[in-house]
Amino acid sequence: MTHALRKKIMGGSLMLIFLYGALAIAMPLMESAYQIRIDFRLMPISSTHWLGTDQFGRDTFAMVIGGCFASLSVAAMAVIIGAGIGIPLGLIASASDNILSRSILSLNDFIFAFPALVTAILIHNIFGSGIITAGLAISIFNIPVFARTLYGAARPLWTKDFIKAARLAGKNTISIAATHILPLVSSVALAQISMQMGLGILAEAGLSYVGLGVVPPMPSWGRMLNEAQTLIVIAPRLAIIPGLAIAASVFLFTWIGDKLSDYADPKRREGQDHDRA
Amino acid sequence: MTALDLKGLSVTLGSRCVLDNLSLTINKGEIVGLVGASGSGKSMTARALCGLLPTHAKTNGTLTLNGEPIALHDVEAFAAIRGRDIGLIFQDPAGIFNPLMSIGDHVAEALVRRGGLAWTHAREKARIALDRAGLPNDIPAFDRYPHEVSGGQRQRAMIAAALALSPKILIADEPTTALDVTTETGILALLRQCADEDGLGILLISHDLPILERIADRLLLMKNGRIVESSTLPLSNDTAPELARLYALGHKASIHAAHERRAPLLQTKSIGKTYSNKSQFLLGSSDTIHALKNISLSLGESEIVAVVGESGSGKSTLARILAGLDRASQGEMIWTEGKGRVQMVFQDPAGSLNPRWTIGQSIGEPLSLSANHPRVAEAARDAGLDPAFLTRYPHQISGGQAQRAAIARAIIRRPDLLILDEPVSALDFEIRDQILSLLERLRAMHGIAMIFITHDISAARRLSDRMIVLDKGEIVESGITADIFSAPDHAMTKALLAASSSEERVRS
Repeated sequence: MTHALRKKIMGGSLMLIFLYGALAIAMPLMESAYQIRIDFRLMPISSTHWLGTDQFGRDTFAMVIGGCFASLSVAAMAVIIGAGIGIPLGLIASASDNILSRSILSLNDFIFAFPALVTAILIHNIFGSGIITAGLAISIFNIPVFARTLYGAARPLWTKDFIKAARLAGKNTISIAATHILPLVSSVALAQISMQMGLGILAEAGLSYVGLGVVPPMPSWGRMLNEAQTLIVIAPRLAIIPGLAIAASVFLFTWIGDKLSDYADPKRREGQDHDRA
Repeated sequence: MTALDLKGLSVTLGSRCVLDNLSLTINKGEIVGLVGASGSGKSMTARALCGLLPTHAKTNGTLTLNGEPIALHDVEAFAAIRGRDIGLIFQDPAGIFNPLMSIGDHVAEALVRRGGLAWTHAREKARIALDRAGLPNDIPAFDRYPHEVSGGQRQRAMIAAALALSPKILIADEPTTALDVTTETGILALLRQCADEDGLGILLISHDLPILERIADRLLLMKNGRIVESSTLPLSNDTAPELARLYALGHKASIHAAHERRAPLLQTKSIGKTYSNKSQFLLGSSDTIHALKNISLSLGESEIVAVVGESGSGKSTLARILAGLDRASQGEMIWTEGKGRVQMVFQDPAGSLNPRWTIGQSIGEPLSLSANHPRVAEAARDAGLDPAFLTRYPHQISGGQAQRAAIARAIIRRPDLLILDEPVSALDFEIRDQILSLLERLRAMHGIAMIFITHDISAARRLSDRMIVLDKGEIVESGITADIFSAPDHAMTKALLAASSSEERVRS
């Protein structure tokens, strides 16, 4: 693939993400479209119902568009909380080898040791269902992911000679972390954010599928799958369509994350490092 | 008898001509030294001789090996002779070895794959090969894994593997660059022995002229992909002016008087550093490692003290403690009132600059100045760096320029003491000379005292007033540099001096 083509694909994907965002924001406008209307149940694909209707007469196209909101907002919330706590924790742990850094890493391992679904059920039992609960459950597992990734990326940097030089220049650990370490690991963090968005969408669908996600009438791709499973023989499109929506968005975000992490590695970056003096 | 004859080799990569009409011969039992700055095409020559050129390279020229012509672009023909007729050793043995395979199996593998022996037989022969390469059986190197032996032993094992199939030609690309001076002498003696006893023809590639001068029968100087000079030894100004000039650079004597009294700057009293090695998990049997023991030294203003020793002697630990990057376990450091600003210059110029910062940003860091502040440009000029480079990034400048930038960053705050941790050992011969001159000039201009940590005795001799020899964390000898050179006392000092003195030719 040429460099120019890659850039185009990258640009296209970013535009798709903006489109997702726009759809999610536009969701409340669609509300009337997915009202329950039993008289219109299980309509086939037509010009009025682009993707047909489900067993409650709701327009599938409107449901898929509306589902963007639950997916994106839960995933975004999980990433914001996860990255917001995990990235500083990872950086703190990487800065030194003491009680603090070891406790951070042990806490990470502790969270990793719990099955995600069990924690989600626990939170569900305490706080009830809803978009906040789902986001909170996923974000707890995002914290150690971000902390680990950032720890791994930042740890080798602390032993570099330019860090020693910065210490000799009189900088303290916090200002070294802010001026040297964070800019060098930012592309890693960005890539991880994108990948966790994808995984967050998947996790939201999973939680909604088992009934731990957003509550009706708010549409959710995971619940659409759940509701479609009894009709899989009569109307397979009801399962295929939200499935495709989930797959496409997960692929989009993880693909962008993958490309961003390529970009973070200067050796794999093209057209950047060849202009030697 | 000619073992290898290369005529008119040209290599082009894309539109760039990297080797231009190169001809060389290697006779049986002869060591030919190939010297040149980095980028001059030395390694490309080595790759061409082994048929390891990049696939998109366009080649021209003829190669005759033991009387048989080989097409330079014939990958399969080379695959057949590589290892069997032509052996190859590299600079970094650590990167060559499979960490999950024992040293002996590496050598045996060469015999199995190329020599067609069975493993049991190959292992027996590998033992003999390792023994010959100076890894005798009483150190059980055969069953050790690569990380369990020293760099010198790894290099010996690589030589054993390369020579196991008794090739006629050995290409050695910077075989001792990563090694200590004393280890280096051993490896060079081994190569000499192989040439003398087995009639092995060796092409020894190095950027370090004195090493080649000690061992080679003939020297070739490469520049921009061409061989510009060829001379037998000893070098003379008439036959090889450029080689003679480069050689003289490495042996420039100190130009300053060392005996003048200086105001004291820093005193250390019995500094020690211990590490506890908690190897047994939970069992708690920890042994203490003494990295430094009882180091007392004093430093005068604008004095240069060289600290020399083998790797592992505690040089770098001392540097870190003096710089305040590490704390001493025992002892104290006393600065003269009002003094104590320390800066440091590191070995690897590229690693000492943040890759995402411009050179100007890095230089301005100690004073939190922006990259276009006039003081940044002034510091760069002081360090002999053209201010035009201030907007570049580290990967866009050469190693020598990066080291100048690191020096500029170190002097911008006018330190009282500059600690130089192997500042020239990663640099080419000519650049090394320029940096040493720069350091001399900085001392003269700004009166900065320096601690010069190095294993390069000739650089220490040139730059330092006094010298300290470290061995296993202790000072074994100290005194005025010239005195130590004329009358070394301790065995380690003698070994270090002998290893670097090029008057002494390596004999098998």
